[in-house]
Amino acid sequence: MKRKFLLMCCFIAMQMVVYGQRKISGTVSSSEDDTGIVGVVIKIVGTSTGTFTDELGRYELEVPDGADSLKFSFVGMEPVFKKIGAGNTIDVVMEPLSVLDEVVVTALGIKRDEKSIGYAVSEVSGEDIRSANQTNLVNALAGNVAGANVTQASGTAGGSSRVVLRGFTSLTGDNEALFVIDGVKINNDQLNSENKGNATDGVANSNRGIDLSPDDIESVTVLKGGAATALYGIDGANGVILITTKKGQANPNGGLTVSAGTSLSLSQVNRLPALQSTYSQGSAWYSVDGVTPEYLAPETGWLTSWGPAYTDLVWDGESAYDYDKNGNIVLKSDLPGGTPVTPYDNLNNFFRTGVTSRNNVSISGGNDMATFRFSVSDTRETGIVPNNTFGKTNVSLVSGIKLMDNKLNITTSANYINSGGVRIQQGSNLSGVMLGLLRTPITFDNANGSDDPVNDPTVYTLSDGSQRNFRGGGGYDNPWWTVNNNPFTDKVNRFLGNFQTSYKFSDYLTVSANVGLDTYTDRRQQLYAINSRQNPSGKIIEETYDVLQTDAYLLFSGRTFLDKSGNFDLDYQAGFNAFSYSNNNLYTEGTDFGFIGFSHLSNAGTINSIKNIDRNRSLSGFASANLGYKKFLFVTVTGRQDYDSRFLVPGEEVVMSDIGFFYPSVSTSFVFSELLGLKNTSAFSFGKLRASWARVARGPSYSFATGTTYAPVVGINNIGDGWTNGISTTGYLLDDLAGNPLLKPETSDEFEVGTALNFWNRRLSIDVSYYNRKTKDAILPATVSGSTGFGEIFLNTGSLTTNGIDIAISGTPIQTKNVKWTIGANFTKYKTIVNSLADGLDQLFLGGFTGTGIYHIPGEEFGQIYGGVFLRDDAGNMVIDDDPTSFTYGYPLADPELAVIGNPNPDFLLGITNSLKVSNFTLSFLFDMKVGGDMWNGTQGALTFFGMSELTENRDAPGTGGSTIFEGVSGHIDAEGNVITSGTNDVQVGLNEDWYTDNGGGFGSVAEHFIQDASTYRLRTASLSYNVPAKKLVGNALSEVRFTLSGNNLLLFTPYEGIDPETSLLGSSSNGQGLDYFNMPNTRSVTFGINVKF
Amino acid sequence: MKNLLFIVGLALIFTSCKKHFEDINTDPDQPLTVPPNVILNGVEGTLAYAYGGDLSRHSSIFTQQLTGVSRQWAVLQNYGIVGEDVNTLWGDNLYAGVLMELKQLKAAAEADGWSHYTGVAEVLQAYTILLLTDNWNEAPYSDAFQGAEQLQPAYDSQEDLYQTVFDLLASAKTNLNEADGGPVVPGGEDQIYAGDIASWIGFANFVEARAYLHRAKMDAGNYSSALAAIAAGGLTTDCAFPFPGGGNANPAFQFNEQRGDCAIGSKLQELITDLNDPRRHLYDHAFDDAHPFMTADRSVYLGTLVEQKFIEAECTFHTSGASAAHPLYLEAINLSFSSVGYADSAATYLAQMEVDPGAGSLTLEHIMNQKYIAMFQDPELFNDWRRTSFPTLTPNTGSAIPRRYPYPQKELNLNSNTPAVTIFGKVDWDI
Repeated sequence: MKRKFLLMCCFIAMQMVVYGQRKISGTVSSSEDDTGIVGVVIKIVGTSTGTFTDELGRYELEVPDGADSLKFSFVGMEPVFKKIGAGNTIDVVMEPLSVLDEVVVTALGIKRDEKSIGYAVSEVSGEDIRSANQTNLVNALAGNVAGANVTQASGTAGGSSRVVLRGFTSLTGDNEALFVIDGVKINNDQLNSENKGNATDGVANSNRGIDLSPDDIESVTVLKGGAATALYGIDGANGVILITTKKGQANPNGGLTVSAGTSLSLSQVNRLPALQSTYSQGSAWYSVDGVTPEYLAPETGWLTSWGPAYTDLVWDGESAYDYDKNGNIVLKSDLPGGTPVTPYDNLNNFFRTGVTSRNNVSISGGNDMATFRFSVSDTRETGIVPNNTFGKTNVSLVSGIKLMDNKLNITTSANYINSGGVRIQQGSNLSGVMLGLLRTPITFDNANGSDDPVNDPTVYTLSDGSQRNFRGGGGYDNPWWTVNNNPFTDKVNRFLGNFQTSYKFSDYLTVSANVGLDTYTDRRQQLYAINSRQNPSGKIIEETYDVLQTDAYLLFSGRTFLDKSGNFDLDYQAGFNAFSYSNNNLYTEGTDFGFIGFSHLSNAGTINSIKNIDRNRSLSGFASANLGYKKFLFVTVTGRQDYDSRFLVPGEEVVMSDIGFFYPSVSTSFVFSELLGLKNTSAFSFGKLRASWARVARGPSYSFATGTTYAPVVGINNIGDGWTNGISTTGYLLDDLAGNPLLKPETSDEFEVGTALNFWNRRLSIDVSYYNRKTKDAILPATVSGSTGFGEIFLNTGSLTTNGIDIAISGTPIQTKNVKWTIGANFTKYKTIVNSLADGLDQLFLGGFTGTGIYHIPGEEFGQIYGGVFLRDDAGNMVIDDDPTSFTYGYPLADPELAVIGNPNPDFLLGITNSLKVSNFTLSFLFDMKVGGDMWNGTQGALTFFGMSELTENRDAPGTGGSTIFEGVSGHIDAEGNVITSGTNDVQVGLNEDWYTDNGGGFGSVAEHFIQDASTYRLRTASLSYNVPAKKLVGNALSEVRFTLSGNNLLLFTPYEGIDPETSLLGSSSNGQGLDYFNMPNTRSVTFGINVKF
Repeated sequence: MKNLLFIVGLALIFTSCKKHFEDINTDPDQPLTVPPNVILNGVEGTLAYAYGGDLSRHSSIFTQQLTGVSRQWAVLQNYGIVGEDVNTLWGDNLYAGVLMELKQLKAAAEADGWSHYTGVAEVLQAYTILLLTDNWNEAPYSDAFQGAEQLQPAYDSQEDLYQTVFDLLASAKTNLNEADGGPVVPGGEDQIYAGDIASWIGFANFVEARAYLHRAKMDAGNYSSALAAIAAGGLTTDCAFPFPGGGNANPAFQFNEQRGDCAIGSKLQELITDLNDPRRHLYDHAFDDAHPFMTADRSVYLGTLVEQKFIEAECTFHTSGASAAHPLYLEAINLSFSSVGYADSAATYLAQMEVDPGAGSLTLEHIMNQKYIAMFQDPELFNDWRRTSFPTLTPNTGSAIPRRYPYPQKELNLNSNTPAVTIFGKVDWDI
């Protein structure tokens, strides 16, 4: 019956079109900038007849006689109703939605009024993401979100980045935020091929978030606290990055909207370690008198640069000399007629200008019922390190259908990604680029004078196939060798699919289903040619990861008033979630190639394979109820019950109650401005207080931490005594690391209070949150008493506490017809303290080296730098060796005990955004600072040993009395281990080879003097864009043209004495941050881009 | 109607929940159970590596068969042994590497009715428990091996541990004597005896004799019990775990090759020099770069015919007097000479008064000193010296020689039941 009535109405409406009507036209503009708004929906009230505004905000509409009024509506604007009068022109100025009605996306993609939310939520617009010009989406969040700490592992093309929200929640597990796209989880793993646990070497792998195209992103919502993420239950502990992708939009003219963009970036290295430029390869140790520095040629294999100054050396002109086209290097005194040696600048000759080109095209269109968006983006990147490349192509199709009076909504999206590149060896690795490059003496030319060393094998290969490097084929790879002969290639084919449908039965009930699929295959190959230093007999790794992840939701939601007066209103969501993940990894390694020139498995003498399947599933039910009272007091209660396969005990009967866990939250928002009757018009326009409490969790990082299995003795359960290499036998043994069937999730309880204040209708807004989060039952492979039968057992032990504060301020100091200046600041401060590890465990190794590494120490902040220190007396004075017979006489002594030497966690982060729009020009920049936080400059330490660091430029000639008296007390350690001191040190010693190759450098037992402040103050992005005025485009097919010139990392100020300290040796996904050991440098870049819309 | 559908829907979802998990309830990469024969090789290897490695080195420092020369071993030479030094020996090797694995092996063998396998496991359990209690006195056993269920196992007294050893040996002999060893019997994976059950029975009796002998200081009646155990059918072949060399070399060879912080001990040097012992040509060069004696492919001996003969000689000396012991003594020395390929030199050696004083003049010191020379760096010598005070030793430093091992640091940190001891304290039988 109802349907018939509707049909009749339509019929009547159509009749009216035929009989008596007139044309009304006008322009719709925005009150913000006075420009026309494209795509405003205009409807004749009471009918379904309507139209859209065009690209200049103009419209025309046939209005039947008797029509009363028009309704103008547009996303983010207050709807406007206009009476149809006698005139034929109706111009409208639309106001932005008032703050009270601001809608934000919350957990599970549920849109809610901002005022009703009892926790902080941050949003970053797609435009901000896109204009950051980052290949890796994660980098674009830096400085834009209060509470987020983004770390880029290296400046290499395709390198990883991570985002940690509000500090750390897990001692050993992943601390990175969960990535959710259009409501479903996607995979953001970083998978390392070599040294999976402690990646101090190998290549910089990508985190899979790099596959997302910034061009397809509408907005990013960051859910930081427990109450915001409680609906994610066991996956919610680390916060959530909610990404909403762009959807198709109906075109007012019924045609298609085509957007296209192209940009070209040029990048160069932004900071390099400072090297000495005076002294040659060599040493004083083996000279005739043991004192005079002697030049040692490459064929001697000598490693350090403690030789004579280059000014004392000449070339003899021997052109057949393999190691230098200018000839052998000899003392000037021996060959007065020789050509004076000039130093080579290996460092600056190595890096090149990186080029990134990004192109994208999207086509969008549709009508009231169906919309679509098709887009293709392509990024091609060549890094600053020769032969380093990364590329990705994204193809996506999103379509939406609305049926049955918009009650049924269906959205599907399909996204294909092809990404990958060629990666270069780095880090603590004899084949690492920086290791060989920075250690090269000034008297050796890695490129041997070639103009095009990267394409000239004679530069790095001698005629017998051995390597041409400064150590006569030993030592470290010539960088030109490693970029050519040791490539790592990866190819990822990924499909992201999403199907969403919802049916609105009534205001009380909408049922929706959302199914997401994320699957990729990552094929990798790592080669080491024969004579590569890391694997001299050659090595090949062939590795494949097959990842399949599905996430499905069934959701019931609705809204109702609880009483007739309408004072109480309730909205609710309830539903189910099924998640499944599997990663099927096959790793095959071949070593000992038979002959040079064919790096292939079939040429390998020994082949080993490892198969590893990691998989888990979960099923969950959840519900959320939001109760509002008179639009000023809101209470939200949520609960989620998770059943997670990671708690199944392998081989045992499935007991649902053993794998089920419940996560509640309660949050409240009190809009006191409403109670006070404050309006948009008042200076103080909005104010709310919020408070929340939630429990969220993390599962174990291992699928079968609940069970104990057998593993082969060969390679895994090697038998030994700690002194010797030990043996392998045949057969299997029970793992020394025991599973724990009683394992439960790590739980984090978080309490948050905050306030949001707006003044002058959002011209100034302030949002402050304070939070306290305590994680208990942290899962650790805890060392246990051997009499348990095991060495380690997975235990729920250990706890950590984070206290922090997030502040976001944004303001619009100037807003006139032509000028708009907005400024914002995002302040992040947190401190995570490790309260306890396991019983009897007073430190836990996270990564790095045995001498200097990252450890958890109870009572200290998360992940401290731990290493060697100088010996000090009780008063804190350095103890200087007082034993005249000792070769360290007069030099500081090392403390036999290691200690905490640095804290890599920053004191606070502050991002300041500015945008100044004048007419059609927009100038914006993001100034970003990380203040405090240490880094171990292991690169400088090692280079000091090698006599290559700039620190060693001040070296004293050996044998001279020396220039230095170390400040401290004379003393030594006696036989009982006591420190015996005797007054102030007054021994004069030299800063020379002996000192710098001992504790003065980085290979001694002291590391504390290479701990440096890694604070950064950087102009992260700056951009100037120009929109061609719409008037100039009239009559043209183009509706929008924008030119952008932007720069990344154009300015960087840091007290750190190495590369850009935004770096991480262990990769971005490791909890061990704060180590720099021959890491790849970072870049600065300039980008020019054009965007057009048809 | 709608509500009913909703409830039915919910019910359907929850019944399918369990199914959702049932097919991923196994680890696809590592087995949860393995047959006993797969474990045996690794257990034998671990026990042999510990016996010929750390146990041999630490005890040989105490018995002055070995001198620690440099680095950590210079500290150990001065009795600086601390809990950290025995973490691996106790935890990784004796507990997790041997006893825990034997528990699995035995449980699986018993379940499947593999009685000979069960017997072999029990002999090795008894042997290892003996190593624990003789060197540490109290040790967790009856409450141990429970993983996360019992993180701090209680300690069993030495009395209880010895009772466990005797019970295990009795059960082992019963199982090994079964005519039908079960569906699978030890074979090539048993690198010690290649599945020769008679040899295992002999080894069980030998271990029993060792156990009685250790406690003879408390009760002289144990000498005859030891003799009875051997008489019941002792060792017929040396209990030796072979090391092929190469990547799987003898533990002492590996240590000397890879670290080399030790040299021959002062007492051993003194005895072989004073007695002009031909075996000094082997022992003196044991620490040479070429490793001519402790070679890469040398076996580790868990029990030898030489030792068994010395046990017989010592016990007979106590039960029946010097004359009765004398031929056994000579036999033991001869066995030792032939075991190292010096059979021809034995007669000249025995002709010395200091070696063979004649039947009537034979003393316990003669027997124990010769056993000491014959069993190069064997951990058993530490038991012998504590029982008999022979050979006579002067401390390397201070006034006392350690009489037991310290508890491992991990055990002290992580198990509050661990007794407080010093290395100069005594185990219960060392009265």
